[in-house]
Amino acid sequence: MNSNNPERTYFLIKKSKVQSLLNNLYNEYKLFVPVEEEEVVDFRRYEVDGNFTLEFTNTLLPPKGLFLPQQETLFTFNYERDISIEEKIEVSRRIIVGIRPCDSKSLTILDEVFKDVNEDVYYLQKRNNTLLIGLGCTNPQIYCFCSSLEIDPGKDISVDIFLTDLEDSYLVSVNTERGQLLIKDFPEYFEKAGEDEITRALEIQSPAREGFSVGFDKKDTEVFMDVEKIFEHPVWEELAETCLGCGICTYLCSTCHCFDITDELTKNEGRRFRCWDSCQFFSFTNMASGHNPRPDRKERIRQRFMHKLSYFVSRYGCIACVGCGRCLKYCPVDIDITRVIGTITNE
Amino acid sequence: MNNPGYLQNLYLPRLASIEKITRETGDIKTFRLAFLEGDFSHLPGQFVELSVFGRGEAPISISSYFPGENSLELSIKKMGKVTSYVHSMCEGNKVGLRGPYGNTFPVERIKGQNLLFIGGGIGLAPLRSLIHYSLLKRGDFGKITIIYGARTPTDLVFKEEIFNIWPSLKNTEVHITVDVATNSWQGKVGVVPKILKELNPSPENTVAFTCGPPIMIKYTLEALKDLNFPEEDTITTLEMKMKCGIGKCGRCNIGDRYICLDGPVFTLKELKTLPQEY
Repeated sequence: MNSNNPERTYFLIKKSKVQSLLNNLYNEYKLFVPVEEEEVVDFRRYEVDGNFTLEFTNTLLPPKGLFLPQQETLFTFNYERDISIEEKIEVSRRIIVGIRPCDSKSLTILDEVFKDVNEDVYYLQKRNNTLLIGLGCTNPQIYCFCSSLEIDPGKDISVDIFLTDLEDSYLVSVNTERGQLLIKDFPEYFEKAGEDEITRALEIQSPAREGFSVGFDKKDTEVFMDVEKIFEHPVWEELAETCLGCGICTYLCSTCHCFDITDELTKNEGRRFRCWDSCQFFSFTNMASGHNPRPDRKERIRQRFMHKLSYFVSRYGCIACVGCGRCLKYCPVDIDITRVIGTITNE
Repeated sequence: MNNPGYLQNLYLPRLASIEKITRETGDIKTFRLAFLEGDFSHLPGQFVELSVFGRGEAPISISSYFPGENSLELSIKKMGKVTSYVHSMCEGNKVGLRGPYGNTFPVERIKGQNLLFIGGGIGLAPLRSLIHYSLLKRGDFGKITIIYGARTPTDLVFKEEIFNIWPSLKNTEVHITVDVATNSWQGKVGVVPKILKELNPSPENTVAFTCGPPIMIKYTLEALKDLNFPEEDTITTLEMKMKCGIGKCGRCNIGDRYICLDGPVFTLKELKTLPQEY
């Protein structure tokens, strides 16, 4: 959430110095870094001299969970005599290191939801207290299609600081005032970048924009705005035949944000928490009366695509997809949003 | 880094005390709730998120209109986890409330018009907030007609009001019907849409409000169409599994609308622009 975009400045940091910088940042921030464990990379809390990697394709889970945790306590309550409520809001200053351009874009999309009309303090507090250090993609994986959504894998001005891999060092592009303040606090790690390093970074960035094997033309998605026409398209029936309704696409999606709110009780204490939920589940819309507006898989799978490509667009002005490719990669029956768009638009 | 300390936490319920419980039917009770602190104001058609601590929250439409009284009534059918638990609570117990949420019946636009209310079962509850409102501001409205039905005589809610109070008021008509009569039932028998057709109300300068089970709404809307009620003067209120009430949790999304923000009140004309997923 960067309202300020001062003149961009460029620095260099040697790769060999990154761990030491993280150790220093650790004293002042909660740090989240990509960590590889059993061949899976995910953002984890950094501890002094802890493991981290900046050589990875992308994390299994999107970073949305650092702002909208899979399970988040909203408040606790105690009713021994009178009911007392204690709110639980994360207020610590945090840094996420190594966020990819697709995933940082997903946060700006989620901002639209959580800022709109009623401000969601749990999400926005974390968002405002978190500095993002992005990392450019030089080698998109075969499931990636961020370029279809006009996201540049090699460049990201929505993060506070953006890193481009220059083999033995990173080019550090500073986009925001708070990014500049961070650099100022740790001058011993950064040296001014020269013209040739900036040019070299641009040369590395540009091939990243070419290497996509799936995707679509963003203009093609405009057809989804004709809800009446698309709503009864036979593709939904076809997809429903293969979809298992497992919901992995929504859990791993960096923009899916639907949640449930529920209570947990122990003796005289309890907590209210929210947790990720999925439009792919029968129970998502099933009411206590037994009436369910989306009782079948066809309606639920249609809801996911229509929400992303149509309803979200008319409400917030952007597609709720960043082309991170997680749903393609992990769908057990190979349902592929790029092919769904292709099927509908190529008629 | 900026700290949005000014942000209000919209998920925190305010405490309210159960002041009075009225048993309406075997599985419906009306709870009169009073806030322990602070003011409360709402308009007819809005809903609240009712908290039973340790059991959860449920969206319930406000079934009263008591301006300036800092209290409200919720008429609750024992259905799921929260509503079952609230049915076991006593006067003096505390619950939590968030809201009011959602849009309202178009109280300004309908000034000077005749009002036709068509309710089925617990569906009279959200309409009752507007009935209260229109009776308080009686001079603002023309004739008030209330058609209300339930499965059996014991399933009728707000019995004191529907049998004694409302029919005794000037320029106010109340027609009660049941699907299945008992031996002692002297009134009308037949489903609500059938009674509506028999009464054959004129659409002239009249706005119709309907709420009830989905099947009743469906046939009532058809009957209103046959009676030539324009789509913009046919108004209903939708129910969805709303959790947050503030347009975040995504559960009440239909097309590009959130029922908790853009609804729950819709004219038939607006409803027709939505995918049929309600």
